[in-house]
Amino acid sequence: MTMNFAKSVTEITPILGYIILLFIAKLFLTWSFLVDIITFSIYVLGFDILAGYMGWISFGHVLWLGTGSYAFALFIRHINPNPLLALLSSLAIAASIGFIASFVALRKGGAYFALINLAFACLGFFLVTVPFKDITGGYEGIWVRMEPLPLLNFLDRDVYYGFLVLVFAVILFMYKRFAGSSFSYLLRAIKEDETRVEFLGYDTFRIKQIAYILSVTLSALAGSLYSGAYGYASAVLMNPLRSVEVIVAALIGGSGTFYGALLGAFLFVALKDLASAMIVYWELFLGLTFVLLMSTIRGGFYSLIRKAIGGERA
Amino acid sequence: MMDVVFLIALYGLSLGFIYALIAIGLSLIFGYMGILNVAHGTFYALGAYLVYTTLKTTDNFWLGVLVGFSIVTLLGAILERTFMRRLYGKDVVYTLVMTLGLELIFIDAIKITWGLEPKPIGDPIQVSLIIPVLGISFPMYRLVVIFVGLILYVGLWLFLTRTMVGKVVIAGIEDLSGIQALGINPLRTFTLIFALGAGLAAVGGALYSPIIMPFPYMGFEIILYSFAIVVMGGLANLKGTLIAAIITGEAVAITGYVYSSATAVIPFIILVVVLAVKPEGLFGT
Repeated sequence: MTMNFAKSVTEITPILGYIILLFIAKLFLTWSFLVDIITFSIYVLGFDILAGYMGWISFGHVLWLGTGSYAFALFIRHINPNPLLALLSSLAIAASIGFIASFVALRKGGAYFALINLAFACLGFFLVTVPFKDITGGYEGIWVRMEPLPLLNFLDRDVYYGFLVLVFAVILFMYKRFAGSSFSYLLRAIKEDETRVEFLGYDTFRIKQIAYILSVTLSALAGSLYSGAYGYASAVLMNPLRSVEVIVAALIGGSGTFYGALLGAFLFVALKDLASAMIVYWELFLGLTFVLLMSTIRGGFYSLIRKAIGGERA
Repeated sequence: MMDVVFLIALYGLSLGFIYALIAIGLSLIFGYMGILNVAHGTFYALGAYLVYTTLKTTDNFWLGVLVGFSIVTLLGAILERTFMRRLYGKDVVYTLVMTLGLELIFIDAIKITWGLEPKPIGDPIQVSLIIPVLGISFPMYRLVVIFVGLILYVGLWLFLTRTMVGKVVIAGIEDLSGIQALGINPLRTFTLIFALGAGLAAVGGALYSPIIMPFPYMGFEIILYSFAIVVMGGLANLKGTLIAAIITGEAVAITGYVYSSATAVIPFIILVVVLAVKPEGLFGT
């Protein structure tokens, strides 16, 4: 009992610390920078369920970011301006589409999985930019007017930020539980050897399907929250070429570890923010970063820190 | 009506052979070395740009194609020796990020060397063939593209099936540790295949350069198409890749005529349909 208690304290403390830090950071850093960090972190966490734990890397995860963003925006425009209802329904929509997509997406792993997801992302981007351009606004996007709720007036930036951090806190606690759960170990076992997991009597397709739906729903949540923050949704967010960003963020930090994903999301957003403002050749800089990263610290920065402290595997 | 059908089929076929030149190298490199090479797009772009530069200095298009092929093959060999070596046996995603990094570096290098604006290259043959019965006239150049593509494909096929080195590569795609167990060191063939794949992509870009004007991001665009083609045909399958490339070329040509804003997505629609029916690709095992 006391062991468990001590364990949960050590688990909760860093998360609480991070949440408090996010509130304090608001005094020094810009609102949009922090919003980007939080939404991007949720996105990376979602992506990493598949990439880090299960070892299945999708090259088209922007699709789900876009799905969440558009489901949220279109719900508010055409069905009901209540942002909470819109948030919930966008998650339901993403989960349903993910459920249907999973039957094709999960038929094979490795390069097939990576590229079929890229194909989905290209399809989604096409639908948004060409046939449904009038509804989605294409590259220009559409603006969203949320209804101000009694206690949660999301049109007030500070209120929205508070809500965002709270949602983030809930996600972090739940994700930490997930990372220590037997389900996450099943995913890791699939990463090691799927056939063996099957021989143990598990329905591996069902497990992968649940992971896929969790992953896309979490990514969609990031998209919805992003749309809510800036009050608009646009196709730019789901350009298939941007799929790379989340992969890189997960790798910089350390894929398959809770803190690694958070660190990666933070470093990527910060790097992009700083570098694109100061460096003309942003692509060259990014390219060199990838090459150096891949040839020197392949476990990501989190593994480097862990080695420096001499701690164990998280 | 007949003339339109004929022209679309011809254009599609020439596009298909250009795609095949790029996708075959990508497919071999992935099948043999396990590297998903995003930087392959650079080889294609450099092939096109080197034609432009050669054309400016010597006024000879075909010399440009040769220069493109030679320089890019050499570049491929150097890259294999320096960067790709570090990636063998690593997870596919690491190879993706590393080569993406190289691709980004090369895109900026192209921007610095040649600037941002697309470079115009005229039709190198400027002869139109006329078929009087059908009342069709079409640029001779398209036929030349198909012809060159076909010759290179047959040449590669003969090399892989009739020479000892080629057979080692084919066997290595099947079972890499198997050929190592026979005492064969595959590292040298890795350099060869990577360089050859790079050179073929350069020829693809060079042949395509009069049809589209070379621009810095052209490699990025083609790489998405090529990935779709490689998976559609079945990984590391020479025949499958060629057929998938031709299907894609024809589909792009037809879409370009019927509903041109969908050309960018049509390869992926075909890919999803193919994989939904047959996850290992058209000719995969």
